[in-house]
Amino acid sequence: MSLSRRELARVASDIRGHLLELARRRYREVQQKLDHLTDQAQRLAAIRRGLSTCDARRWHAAEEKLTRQIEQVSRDIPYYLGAVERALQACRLNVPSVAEIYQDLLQADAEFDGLRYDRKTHTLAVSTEPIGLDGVFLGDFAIQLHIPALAQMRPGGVYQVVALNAQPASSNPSVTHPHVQDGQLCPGDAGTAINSALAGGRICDFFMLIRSVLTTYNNSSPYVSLDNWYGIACYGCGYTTHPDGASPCYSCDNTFCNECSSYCRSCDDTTCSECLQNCKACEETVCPSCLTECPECGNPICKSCLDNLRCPCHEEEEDHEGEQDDPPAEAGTAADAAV
Amino acid sequence: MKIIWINNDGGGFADYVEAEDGTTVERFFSEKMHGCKPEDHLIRVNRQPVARNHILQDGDRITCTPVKIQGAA
Repeated sequence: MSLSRRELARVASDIRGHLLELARRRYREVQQKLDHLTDQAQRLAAIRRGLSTCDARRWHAAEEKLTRQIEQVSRDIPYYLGAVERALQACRLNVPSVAEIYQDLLQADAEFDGLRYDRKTHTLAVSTEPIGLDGVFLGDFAIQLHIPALAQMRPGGVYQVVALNAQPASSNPSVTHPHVQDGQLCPGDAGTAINSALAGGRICDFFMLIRSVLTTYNNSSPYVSLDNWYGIACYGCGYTTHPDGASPCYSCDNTFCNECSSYCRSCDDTTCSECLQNCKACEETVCPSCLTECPECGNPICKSCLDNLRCPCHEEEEDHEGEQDDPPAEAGTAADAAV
Repeated sequence: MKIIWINNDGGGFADYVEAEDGTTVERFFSEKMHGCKPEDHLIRVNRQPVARNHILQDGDRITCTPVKIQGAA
């Protein structure tokens, strides 16, 4: 153990001091919420007195107005009552004794093969074993608990998860684990239990819960999925690219980088260079869905050109018909000459 | 007998619960964590790992922490 028994006792005492401060804050929170609720009650009492006066003086219009005020206050009371209940719930945790916290720190030291304490930053830390998930090596992590932050329990301010041998996602270097970004763990299902463990001074439980999240992959909600941890390989050129720089081809479903992908000039769908073909009529590149065959000549043309009869074979036919119409004009000229 | 039961699979609250004399850890777990497998949890009695047939005593402290918990983004 890197901490002596005396230091461990001092840290346990420090932790208890901050937890006591947390408990005091929570009691003050209850008082504040209760003040809001009693304000509403006093409003109702004032309205009640007003109603009595209006009744005595037969001020019916004023009675109606006061009744509407009662409705509004009545609607707000459940909200303030709920706030008091939540504040009371937060006060239910007992602050453990220094001896209990000391025992917890001993347990953490045994569970994690060493507990470390930084005297300058008042940070308690343990390290995990090297972690690999779904064949992706992520390295080992330090779970760091900032003891003074226990007094406030602000989200994101109490603990950090630091990669000791960082293997970050290629698309985002700040993501060192699918559920850790910028040293902040998104605890997911463990959130409530972690807060409960910290507020109850169960430091070892806290570390164990964090470790359980780090050793589990939730593929439905990662910062970067493990499938894309090393980037996405372009199907065309093999270049590894950021997921934001890759697009699926709507025709063949493969993923391509920006260099290898284009779009259909007819429907605007993203299509790879391999799937795009030239329309013989308008010479635009179109996807297979927008390309068809001219029924007359079998030329590949886009549906738009087919509908508008713009296939080159139609133009040739019109030219041919135009040539057949020319001879009657020449006969007329010869007859005029004879006369 | 009274046992301090801390279930970190969920809310993580600590409660005093009653258990019959002679209750083993295995039986206690199956009653409190019906449907869950002991091997999916880290079970500690008075902060120590114990065998499944360990018999609980009055005032014992049991914690149960899942080995796998899903994080998020």
